[in-house]
Amino acid sequence: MTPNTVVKPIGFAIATILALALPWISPNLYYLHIFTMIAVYWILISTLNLLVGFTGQLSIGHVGLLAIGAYTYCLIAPFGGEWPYLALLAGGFIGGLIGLGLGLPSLRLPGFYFAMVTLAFGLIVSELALAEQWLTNGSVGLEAPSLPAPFNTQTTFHLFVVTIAAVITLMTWNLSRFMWGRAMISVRDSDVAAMSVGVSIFRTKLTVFVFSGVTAGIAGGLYAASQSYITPDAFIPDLGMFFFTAIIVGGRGVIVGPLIGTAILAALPEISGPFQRYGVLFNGVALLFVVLVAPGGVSELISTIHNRISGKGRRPAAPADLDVLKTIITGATVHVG
Amino acid sequence: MSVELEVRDVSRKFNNVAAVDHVSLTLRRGEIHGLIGPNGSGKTTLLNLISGFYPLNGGDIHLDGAAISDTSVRYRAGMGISRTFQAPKLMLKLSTLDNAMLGGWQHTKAGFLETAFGLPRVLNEERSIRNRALAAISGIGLGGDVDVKAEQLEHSAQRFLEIARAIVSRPKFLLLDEPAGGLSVGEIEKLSQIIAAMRDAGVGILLVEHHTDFVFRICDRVTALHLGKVIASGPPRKVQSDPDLIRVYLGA
Amino acid sequence: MLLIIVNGLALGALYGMTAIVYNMQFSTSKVLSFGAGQYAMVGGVIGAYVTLHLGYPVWLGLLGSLASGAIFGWLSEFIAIRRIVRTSDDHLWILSTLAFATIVQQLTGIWWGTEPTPFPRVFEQGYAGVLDQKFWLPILTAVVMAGAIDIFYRKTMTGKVFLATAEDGLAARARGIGTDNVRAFSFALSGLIGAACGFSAGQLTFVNFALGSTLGLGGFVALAVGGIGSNAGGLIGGTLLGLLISFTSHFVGSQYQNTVAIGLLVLFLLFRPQGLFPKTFLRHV
Repeated sequence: MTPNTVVKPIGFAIATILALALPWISPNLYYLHIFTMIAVYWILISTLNLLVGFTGQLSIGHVGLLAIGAYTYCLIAPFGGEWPYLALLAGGFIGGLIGLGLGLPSLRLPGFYFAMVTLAFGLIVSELALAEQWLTNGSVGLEAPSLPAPFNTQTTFHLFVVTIAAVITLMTWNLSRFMWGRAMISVRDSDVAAMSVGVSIFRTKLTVFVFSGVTAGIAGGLYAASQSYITPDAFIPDLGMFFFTAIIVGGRGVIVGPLIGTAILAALPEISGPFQRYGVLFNGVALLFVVLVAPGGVSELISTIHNRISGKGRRPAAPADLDVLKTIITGATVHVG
Repeated sequence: MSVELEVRDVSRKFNNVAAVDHVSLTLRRGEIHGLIGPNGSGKTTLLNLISGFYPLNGGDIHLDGAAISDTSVRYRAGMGISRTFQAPKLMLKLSTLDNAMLGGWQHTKAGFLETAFGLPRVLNEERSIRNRALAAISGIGLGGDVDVKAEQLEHSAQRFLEIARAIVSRPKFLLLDEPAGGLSVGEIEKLSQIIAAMRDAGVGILLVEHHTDFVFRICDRVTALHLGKVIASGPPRKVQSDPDLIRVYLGA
Repeated sequence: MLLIIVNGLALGALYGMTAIVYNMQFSTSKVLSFGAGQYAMVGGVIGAYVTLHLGYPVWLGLLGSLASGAIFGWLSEFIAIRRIVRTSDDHLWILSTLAFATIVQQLTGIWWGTEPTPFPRVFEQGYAGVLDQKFWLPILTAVVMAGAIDIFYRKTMTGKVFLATAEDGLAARARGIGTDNVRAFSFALSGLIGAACGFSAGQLTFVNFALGSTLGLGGFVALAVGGIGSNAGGLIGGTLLGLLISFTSHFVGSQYQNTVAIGLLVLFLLFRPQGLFPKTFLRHV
């Protein structure tokens, strides 16, 4: 039992309770709106993190999936009557399908090619949102119905979003700490090693892409529900850049880092008022800084310092225990199941 | 019928140059088969053909009598053919334990959503693979480094960790690609003990190596390649004194 | 009809020149940079700044434009590439060049503004329809550039050093070639080419802080269509893309530019991933 197995669940519980309690901690409605938006973004980023940080697929075009989810919600919700939740799920479903499509080129293309294709995907979605007026109403945009009671106030909507975010965070955390997490990272670090232990690169990549597409679609629906109107220029490539940067700055292969990265990168330009127009510039600077100074992201920087302080070191290699090795191979004493 | 991995008349060309040219050999469980030859003789290519990284241009490969020539790397891993790499391929940011546990992937059945919700089967599988990996790590002599990131391990420890990962997968056949490269004399001794122990546990081992004396000392059978062709094959003592082999190695 | 073709050829020249920028950087660094389109943007902005804001003659604007491109080229190597190529992480240069491109674009947007602004006439000429300089200037620049680079590679010592580094960096270093300097020089040169592209494009595209990402994507498509390493291929790929975009803009609608570009890219990646003119020395490992 390492301290981690105790610390992490407690940290998760405290963070969730704090996030849920925000409407009472900070009654300022503007700040509450920002926090709700951070939670919406996190629903997308937390699973994009599985893709970028764990599986190593550099998608900078997830803003396209957000847009698809948002438009799906706006188009379907009016027919749902009292049940616009179905529209959220529909956004997730279509997001998953498109996510699968976006994942296919990742099976063949090297990193830069794939990053370019995802960037172009984001551009195409906003281009089509502008062009296909019969569906999207072009630059005028679509009206976005808010959720019905009891989630029609800002406070209850916040609770709804944070609850979904917490569930999805829990899911990504489970995925990261069990065998699937190792499989994803093996695809990122050495596809050759992954194959040699029997990991299917095809299945791993596409599954994560679908999962990421589903939650991005749901996040899109929630994004729309939080606004009264959506237009194509809400889904600029800079937003995709922000999702991506939050993960890299926070650190690849961890969950807390990108969460903090999301909160900081999203909140800073908003809170700092006059610097709002520097938001994207700030993303670029943060990304460059991290890549040059701490390629593992902020979380690796912290863990390196932590290790140095706690003096976690290596011990010299010991002789082999041959009997143990034999029993593992023959399966004699190692209990399975 | 005996459990064996049979390579029959296998060929592979790169840019019309035959890297492996009509090679046959048989791996039996509980036997160490050495594969020697100078640089560029096709040793690693042959290993890649057996583990499925390259398709064959000719010949076929049988496992227990069934053809596996057209199957994927992943399928062959699932059938118990495991391997290590010349340059260790590890997840450098993960711990020694996580790296070894990856070897247990094919023994887990939990799906994506099952894992996401942390259902009981996931926890059980996790526990059993963890125990097996912990045992393999301490068995291979890296017990002090369980929580250390792989990137902080010395080169030799990384080699042993790859073997531990392979052991966790409980292979029927293990293909070792120059495992003694960069190891000290003491470490090579430890390596040969480990290889012998795996053989005793019933694993069939293909040992691709430069260090010929090491190969001749521990192998039950040796095949020598030169320019993609088999030039000598048989028990170590016989191959050792083969005139063709001596000529190749002395460069005459 | 003729206007559509000429417009397509001019657009294609811009994509082709950007493909040349990609090629020149890739040859010495094995890096495909997200910033490849930004030098044209910088070159256009500086050209307009020197002439329209400071009131200097056009030839000084061109000089300033080329100088700024070369400086930014060198800077991008120094900041985003030099330290990265020493690490073995494949993904890092994607991130560093993406970050650099974003910073350059955003700084320009903040300083210059985000609205497209007009570019001065380079030659005194009334509007001449299909023969207007806004069309032939980019085309001429692209052809002259490609020719000059070809001569540079074949006739000059520096060019030969470039080729040696491109074919085998390790061997070049063993022969005493300072590969770091070669790479820096190739980036400066590629920045200069990009700036020339941007200067010649000014009247066609207007001065626009977002031009860099448009050209970055279009140039990449041209590159993939032509085959990495081939400048002629890049020009042909660019022309193909330019014509396609020009025709769809006219007959279907100008909103589909990226869709067309990426459609062409996907077609090639599916059916001819090595491009039209693959270079043999670029065997994948």
